[in-house]
Formats: sequence, C-alpha cells, structure tokens
Amino acid sequence: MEKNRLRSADIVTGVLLIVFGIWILIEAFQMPMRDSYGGVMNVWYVSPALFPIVIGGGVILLSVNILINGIRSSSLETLKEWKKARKTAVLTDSGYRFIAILLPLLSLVYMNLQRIDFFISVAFFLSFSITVFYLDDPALLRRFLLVYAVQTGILLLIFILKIDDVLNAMYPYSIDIIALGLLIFLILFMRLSIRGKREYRVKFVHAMLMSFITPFVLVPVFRFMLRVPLPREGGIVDLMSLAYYALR
Amino acid sequence: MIVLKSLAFFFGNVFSIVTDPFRLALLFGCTLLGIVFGALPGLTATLGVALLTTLTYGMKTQQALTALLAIYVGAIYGGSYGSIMINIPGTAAAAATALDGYPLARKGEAGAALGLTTTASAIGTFIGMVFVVVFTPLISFLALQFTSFEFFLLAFFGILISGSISTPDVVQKGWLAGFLGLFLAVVGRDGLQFYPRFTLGFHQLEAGIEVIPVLIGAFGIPQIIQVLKDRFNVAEAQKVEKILPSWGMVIRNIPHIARSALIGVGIGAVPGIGEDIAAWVSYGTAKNTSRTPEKFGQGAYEGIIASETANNACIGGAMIPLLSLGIPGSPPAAMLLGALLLHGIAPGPMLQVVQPTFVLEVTAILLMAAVAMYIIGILLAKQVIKLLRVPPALFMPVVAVLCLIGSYALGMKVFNLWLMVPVGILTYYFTEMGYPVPPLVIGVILGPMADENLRRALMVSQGSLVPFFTRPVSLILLVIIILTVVTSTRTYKNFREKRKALKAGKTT
Repeated sequence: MEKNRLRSADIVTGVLLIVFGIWILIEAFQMPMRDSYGGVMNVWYVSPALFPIVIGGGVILLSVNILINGIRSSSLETLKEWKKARKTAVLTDSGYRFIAILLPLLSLVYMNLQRIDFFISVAFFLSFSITVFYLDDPALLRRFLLVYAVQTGILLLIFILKIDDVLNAMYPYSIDIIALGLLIFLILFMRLSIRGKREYRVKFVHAMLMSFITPFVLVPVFRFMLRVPLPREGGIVDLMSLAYYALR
Repeated sequence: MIVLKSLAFFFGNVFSIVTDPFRLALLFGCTLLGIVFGALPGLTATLGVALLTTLTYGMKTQQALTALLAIYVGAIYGGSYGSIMINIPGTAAAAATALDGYPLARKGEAGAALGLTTTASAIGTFIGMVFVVVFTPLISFLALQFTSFEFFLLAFFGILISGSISTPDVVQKGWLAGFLGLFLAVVGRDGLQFYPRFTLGFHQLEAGIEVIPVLIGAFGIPQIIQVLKDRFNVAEAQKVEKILPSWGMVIRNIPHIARSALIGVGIGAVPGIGEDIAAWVSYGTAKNTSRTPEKFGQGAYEGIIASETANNACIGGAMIPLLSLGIPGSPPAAMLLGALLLHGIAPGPMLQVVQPTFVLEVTAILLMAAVAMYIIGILLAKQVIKLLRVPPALFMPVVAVLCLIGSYALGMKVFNLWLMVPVGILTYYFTEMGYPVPPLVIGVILGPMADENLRRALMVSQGSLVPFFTRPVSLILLVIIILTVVTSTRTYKNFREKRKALKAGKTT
C-alpha cells in the first residue's frame, strides 16, 4: 500500500486495536486477582489475569503510537480519499476477485464441509475457483460468481430451514444429490458460457481435471491411508469406501 | 571420547538413512517436492512444511523429521529456479538471487547459474549443519542454567527482535503483531490455575488455540488470497543448457561462500528472522565488499553465491535456537516446531538431557538433505523448470483445499478450520497494512512460555521484580530488550540524525 494511504489506514487500525486492547483489559480485570479460585487464594503475580494485562497494555500502547504516527503523517484529505477508495474498491476487478476467493472458501468451511459429501464439497469449490481464476476473464468471473452466489444462497436456505434434515431422513444422500445437481449445473453453465472460444475450452478442461482429480486423490489418502474420518462422508465417499473394501 | 562417540552416532545415522529404502525414498521425494514448492511462485517453504506436517503425522518421528527437513532444504533452494529462469522468485528467500540470476540467464548462462546456486546452496546447508552440531549443545548447556526470569525475558526478546527486523513499515507494527500472537496464545484455560481466558463461551476454545491451524492460516490463506487476487502471470522461461557445477568458480569464491554462510547462520539464529533477510544482508555485504560492485545487478556470480549460500545456511542457523531454546529461528522452523510437538518432542534445553542424540539425528538428516538436493538439482533441474509454466491459478485453489484438510486432519476438528480461516483473512489484511506475519507466529508459539515463566518467576520471588535486575543473564537480556526498544524509537532516530548532521557540519 502506498505510504500516504498506509498512514490513513493506520488511523483506522489504530483505533480498532485500541478498542481491542481495552476489551482485553476489561476481560482480564474480571479474572480472579485476589479472591479464591478453585480453592487457591490468588495474589496478583499468580493470577491468570497478569499476562493478559501485560498484553492488553502493550496492545493499547503500541496502537496509540501507530494512531499518533498516522495522524501526524496524514492529512484529513488523505483519510477521506482512503475511505472513498475503500468504498469503491469492492466494485473494481480486484474487488470481484477478492469476493470470488472468499465466497467459495467461506461457504466451504462454514457450510458445505460438514453437511455435504467431502468429495462433492471440494469439487464444487475447486470447479468454481480454478475455472474463474484460470480463465482470467473479468466478465466471465462476474457471471460465474453470480451463479455461484445464487447456488450458495439456495444451499444456505436449505440448511437454515433444516430442509436437509427432512430430505436426509427420507433418503440419506438427498442433500448430496442436490449439491451434485447444483455442481453439474454450474459446470454446464460455465462450459456453455465459453462456447466458441477455443483457448478457454482447453483451459476449462484443465480446470475440470484438477477439480476432480484433487478430491479423487485426497479422499483415499486421508480416508484410507491416514485413516482420518472426513468431515462429512456422503454418497461419493461411501461409494469409494465400498469400492476400496471390495478391492482390498 | 565424547567427540568420537558423537561422530560414530552421526555416521551411524547417515548410514541408517542410506540403508533404509523407505527413508531414502522419503528423503529424495520430499527434497524434490520441496524444490517444486520453492520453484513455483506463490508456494513457500513454510507452506510446504505446513502441508507435509499432516501427512507425516502418522509416521515414526525419524521418518517425519526426514520428510520435513528435506522439504525445508529443497524449498529454500528451489526458490532460485524462478528467480533465475523467469525473474520471479519462487520464494522470498530467493528474491536477491533474481538480481543477478536473471541477467545471467538472459546472457545464455542459466545452466551455469543454476549449477552454481545448487553447489552454493548445498555448501550453505552443510556449513549450517556444522554450526548446529557445535552450537546447539553449547547453548542448551547455557540455557540449562536459566530460570523462569530468563525464559520469560528470552521469549519477550524473541518477539521484540522478530518484530523489529521483519517489519516492512514502522517497528511498532512488528511488536504489535507479536502482542496479537501472544493474545492468541493465552486463549483457553491457563496452565497454572486452569482458569478459562477469552473463550467467549466456546467449549472448543478451552483447550486453547491449536498452533498448527493458526500457522497454516497465517501463512497459507494470505498467500492464496494474494496470488489469486493480484493476478500472477506466468513469464516465459529463459533457455537452459547443461547444468554443471563449476567447481573452479566455487573454489575461487570460497571467501564469499564462507562469509555468506556465516551471515546466514547468524541471521538464522535470530528468532523469527527468515531466509529472505539472510539472503538480502549477504547480497548487500557481498556488493559492498566487492572490488567490482558495478557488476552486481548485471549478472555477477558473486551475487547469486552470496544470496543462495546464505539462505540455505540460514536453515542450520534457524535450527540452533529451535533445538536449544525451543524458539524458532525462521517461519519454516516455526512450522517444524509445531510438527515436532505433534510427535511428542519438546525442543528446548531439556532436549539435550532427555534425548541427547536428537541433535545429531537432525544434523545427519540435514547433511543427507543437502546431498539429495545437490543430486536432484544437477540431474532434474531441467524437468523442474518445465513446471514454471504451470499458472498459479491452476494450483492455488488446490493448495487452499490442502490447507483445510491439513488443519482438520491434525485434530479432526472442523472448529480448527473455523479458526484458521478468520486468522488467515485477518493476517491478509494485516499484511496489506504493513504488519509482518513472523512476530505474530512467534508470539503464538512463545506465548505459553512467556506467560508461565513470568508467573512462575514472580511466584518464586514472592512478587518481587528485583531478581530481573540482580541475575546476570536476566540483566543482560533486559538491557538488550531496552536497547532494542530505545533504538527503534523516533526520538532516538532523530537524535542520531541530528548528531550525524552536526558531525557532517563540523567536517565541512
């Protein structure tokens, strides 16, 4: 980041970190300092609050320093400019790329991994991520991102309304089938969007190969070699287990 | 007698690696993997060690150590491929190599440059290894005399010095990053009274934040975001002819190699300071002491010798505080510490007492890794160079998945992932704002040591701070800490500038 902007950003982070330091101190002062805890009579130097107080104090002191440095080195104009730049940053190509990284990552970690079959979750994440960044076409990225966001929204609704519990009670792999359907739709949509572009077609094939080979290697390595139970073992992982134990 | 015994044990270890086909395959395989990790822009040595930690969890300690050290050595060396062939350093440690490596490649001397970096890296690793053997037991012996006062100050000093040197902006940001790391370390029930601190009601946090997911999050996620967001285009690689180690050149440059290795070891031994700084300092020194400094940046062989010897010697340097004090000397060493703890090995002064042969095992592996790196570097460099054509967009999302499954597999807790991702995103933002990552990581690692030793020390002294000033080592550490802080302040810098200006005024 450019020096002037960095100093303006320091003002914001300085304030945030001061608040954080104060919170550390508030929490620390609620810890046993002199009274008894677990049958042990406390004195200040044995208290579990001692080190957090040192940390909280250090964070506040250093943040104040950074804040003062930021205020000294940047004018109000640069701060306004920085704020304006932050507001418009989301709408730039770089902003869309940032969302395209975070949305799949967050949906994979906080939603899909525990609820959808590991193989499908990973393939879903990779199909989108590799394709959009490998093709490197801003217009396509926005289109694919929109479709991916809608699909994530659908899954989120299913999980919030607990429809997955109802469906899985009827048939154990229902949610995997729905996720697989969404994945196939996404792949078809991406494939149709690049129709007629030979260079993109080759890249798309590479992206798909990487997207499916990765979970195909990871599942046996972690599930069967390292014996790590995967976060969610649904339709495809169960199928692979069946094949593995049948062949063994 | 002890020396002979140690030598016998060292060569016995070397022999056991050579005669064990699995360990030998592991050694060569992981060194090659490390070279690939180092060569590909966007992947780092730290990430390589982090991802391999999970896969080696189920292995025997010796096997795991072989794999992890091999990938570490390979990755630091592999960074030079990108620097020389496409002018994009594969790792930060090889950034200085690009200054002279790429001009050499453009002159059609890529093969000679690669041959020389391979030899220089192998020699650097070897010299680093010698220092590990000599200094680790000595420092461990000294550290055994330390009490809680010294250990607290040592941990504090580690965080401060790491923050001072690794910060890209004002020094306070480096220290603040260290304090944030310390905060992460105190989350969970405290070691002395079992009181839950900053758990926010999450029972998963009561056991504390696991180090490995935090390290993977802090090093992996920001890297992935940065590479994908900032568009990393693949450059056309220069042509490479035969890769030959020009021994004549190596012999002519022995003084350069020795000096660069010493710089590498010295910088590696400073907590949290990585191979990149070692390479830059060594490069700068080589340029300043050269008779032909004007040739630097135009394709000077001394330049690549300086950076490549130093960054690989730094590995040995980083192992010294790790093994003797339990303080990692570099970010990959921090990952290695996490891996060792997973295998039930607690690096620190007691390691020499509990497992006196452990250091020799490590050095034997380092030696063999240097040999493997040299052989692979000479024989397979041309094949590895082909991988430079693979665009990062194709593999970075896969690395993201590996980071996730790696963090999950260690404790089989999805909660680790829930922590890892926000730590990674926050670290990305902090990096963008000029906060360094190494002090944060060092803080996470040294936090428990600082916390427990501070309280234990005060318990012994009944709350008195006097022993901090009356114990010699403690006093020395205290003075160093105060000097580190004072010399970093603006007031001190202004004072020095004024003095310089005054002196300059007097002379004119």
